Amino acid sequence: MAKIIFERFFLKNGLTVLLHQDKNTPLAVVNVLYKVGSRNEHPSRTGFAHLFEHLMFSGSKNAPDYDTIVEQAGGENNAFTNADITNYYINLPAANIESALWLEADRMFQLNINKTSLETQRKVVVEEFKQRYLNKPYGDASLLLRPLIYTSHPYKWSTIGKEPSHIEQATLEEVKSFYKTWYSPNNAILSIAGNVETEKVKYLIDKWFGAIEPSSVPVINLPVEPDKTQRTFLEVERNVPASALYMAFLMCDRQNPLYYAYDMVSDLLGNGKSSRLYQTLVKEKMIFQDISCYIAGSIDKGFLMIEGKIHDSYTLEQAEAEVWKVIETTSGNISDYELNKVKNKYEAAYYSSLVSLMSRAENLAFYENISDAELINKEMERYSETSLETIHYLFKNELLKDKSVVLYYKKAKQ
Amino acid sequence: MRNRAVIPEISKIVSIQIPEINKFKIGGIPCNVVSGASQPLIKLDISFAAGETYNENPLVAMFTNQMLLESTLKHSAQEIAEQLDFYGIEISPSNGMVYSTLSMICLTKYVEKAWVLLSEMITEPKFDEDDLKILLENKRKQFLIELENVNHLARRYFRNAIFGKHHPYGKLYELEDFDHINSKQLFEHYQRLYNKDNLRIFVSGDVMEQHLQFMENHLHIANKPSAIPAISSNFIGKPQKKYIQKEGALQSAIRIGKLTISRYHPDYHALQIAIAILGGYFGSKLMQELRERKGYTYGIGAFTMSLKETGYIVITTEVASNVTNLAIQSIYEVIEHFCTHLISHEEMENARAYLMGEFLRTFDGSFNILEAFKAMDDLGLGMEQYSHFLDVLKHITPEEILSIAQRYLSNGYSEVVVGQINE
Repeated sequence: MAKIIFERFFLKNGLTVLLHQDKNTPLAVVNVLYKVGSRNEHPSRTGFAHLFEHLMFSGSKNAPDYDTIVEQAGGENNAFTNADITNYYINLPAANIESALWLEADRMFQLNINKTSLETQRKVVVEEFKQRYLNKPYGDASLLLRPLIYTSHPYKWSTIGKEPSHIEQATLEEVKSFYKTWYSPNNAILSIAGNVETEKVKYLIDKWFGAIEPSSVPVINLPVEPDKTQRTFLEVERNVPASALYMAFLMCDRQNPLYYAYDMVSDLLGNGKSSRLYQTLVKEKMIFQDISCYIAGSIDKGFLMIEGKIHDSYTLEQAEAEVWKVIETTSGNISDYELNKVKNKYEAAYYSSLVSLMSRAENLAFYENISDAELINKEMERYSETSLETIHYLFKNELLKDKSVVLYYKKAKQ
Repeated sequence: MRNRAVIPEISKIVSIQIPEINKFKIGGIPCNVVSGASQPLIKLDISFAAGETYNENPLVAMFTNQMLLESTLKHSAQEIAEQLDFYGIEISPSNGMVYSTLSMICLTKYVEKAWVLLSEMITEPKFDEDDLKILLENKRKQFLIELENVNHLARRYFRNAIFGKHHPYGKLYELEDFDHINSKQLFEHYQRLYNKDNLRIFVSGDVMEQHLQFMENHLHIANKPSAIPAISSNFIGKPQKKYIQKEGALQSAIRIGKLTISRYHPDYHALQIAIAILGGYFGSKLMQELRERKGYTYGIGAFTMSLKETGYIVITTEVASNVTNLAIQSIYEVIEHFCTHLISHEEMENARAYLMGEFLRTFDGSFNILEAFKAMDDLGLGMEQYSHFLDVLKHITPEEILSIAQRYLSNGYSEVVVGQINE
């Protein structure tokens, strides 16, 4: 039941194709991943990759109204951008898969780039910026943290951008050049899941994508973010109901075997009500209202984040000291039982992530972009192979004060 | 041959199989099952008619349900949390106006463990004072955060505006209501409503006969009549307008809507389709006008909601502060136009095709199928609702859409705006 079976092949123009057949659904998902994200942006044009994602819906030469055709074919579509990739999908009745392939090929080949849609989407994205980051309590915390965690790598700005003005200043010329640089078959992964006939869909893929010329995609040499050697600290005051503490640690890149250990460390510390931080600081000591720990697993060095909101009777200094106490008591003191617990949790989460057709298509492309789509079937093993020693190693060598990035997000006095 | 200028032929969806639900009783309790899974997971939902409207203080229902996840007579809250986490069981309590639900997702191999735990949680909760104290404090703080969010505020006051502040559906809880919650009250709510005759079970995913047998053998719930108060159908008469000033807000949250008809009304499905055309998808009128043409917002949507006693429609959006009034005006213009002009055949066909696809997606996988069923079962209806919707969707015409719009959408809107409002 568990293994995701797929086929992989390459078109002559460099497009990577992944096919996963599922006969138990009337649907099909066409997912296109472009290997470009906010890490590829110019420091004075942050937020550009995401703005461009919006422009991909402005129509192409033969399909001037992208969304209408998706809807006519009974499909729904959407997209997201993160630091590493821009990902688009259409989820539609399997019988109409050719419509989706035709649409995606047309906008990969000859997108309509025009002033009107740029002007509208600049406004829409600025509203998105406000809605999700500025006009929401704690919404700007992630904007503040990135430049503290990263000093040289472009992960130092958020995907939405450093500030709305970068988006407001984007020009038509820049949009055109971005499209030319990054949106080509040799910089994309096409992943298809659903009730499709393999031979027929192969023919259709070649028919619509085969003739698109490859381009010379720049080789990216991004700076490697140096390890932290001393505590980084920032305090801000905001009009919020409770002070919040954020503590981050720079971690390894996605291909490093330590990635799995970091993920398990984050679960041990702060995923679920039985986790160390939650039990001690929310339940027993009642210092935090809530606390959690998670990792941001990007292609280049990611980070582990602890975040929580504290009760008014404690200061952020006290709260931070208590988090350190929990880290210190956990270090070197984890049982096999606890390790099994996080492995079980991971197993359930892993299968949950493969329930929908869409997430299978998306995950295949995601893993292929990291290195190999087959990873989708190996992740479970990677977690179960992770030893207690490796986890202890991280506690001893990485979760240290000198390597921490700390943000005090302080409640302003009323 | 390849000719990019020619759109590949689109096939129309002609038939959709409405999935069947396996319904039976375990120990006298209605149990609804859809089996079938791509992954070794089972979803267990149990639902009591014990929602917000069944108590004077609307917070009682939420806290009662949340407290089921804390200490039981046999185990401390920590032991329960430990067990859930150890077996990788995800549990989420949710509360509506009418129903209180606990949803669990677990690995097939641990479904027995999950069921035993779930059964213990609903039959032997302790309502421990210390657990409650922490929960209360944390929820109170979360509420304070919500009060800072324009979108939350708009949602809150909208219900109040359409149902009236005295009706159970419109009643809002305030900060001081948190101070009046105690375990005795929760225990009473629990005893009154968490009984066998008030419970429904929903199981989907990788479920087999032996699992259901196990469930039947391991659930011992009080068999006494629940006291369910009737809900008045007396709603507020006049449309309300409410503007809440939030200094420094960069965006205004807008809710515009009105009471219409419930799902029991013969026009309901046609109204659902009309609302979708107005604001239910990317190509809808409101989205095209306010986002794609004017750039006022990141998104706008229109929805139909149905309760047993009535139904309502609501348009929701967040817009740049400086265009708040323009956006409101624009929404009314779109509605006005919709109520006075036939939509084109092309628009009709687009909407029809999109909604057919959407319909297929509703039934993708057993988790989704059972959720679709539960939404109907909550209203005492069944899967025949979907067949009926499909019939209406297949045949509805622009003329019928216009007549529905005129009948239900032309006027009488309540309006809630939260933000930096410049008069």
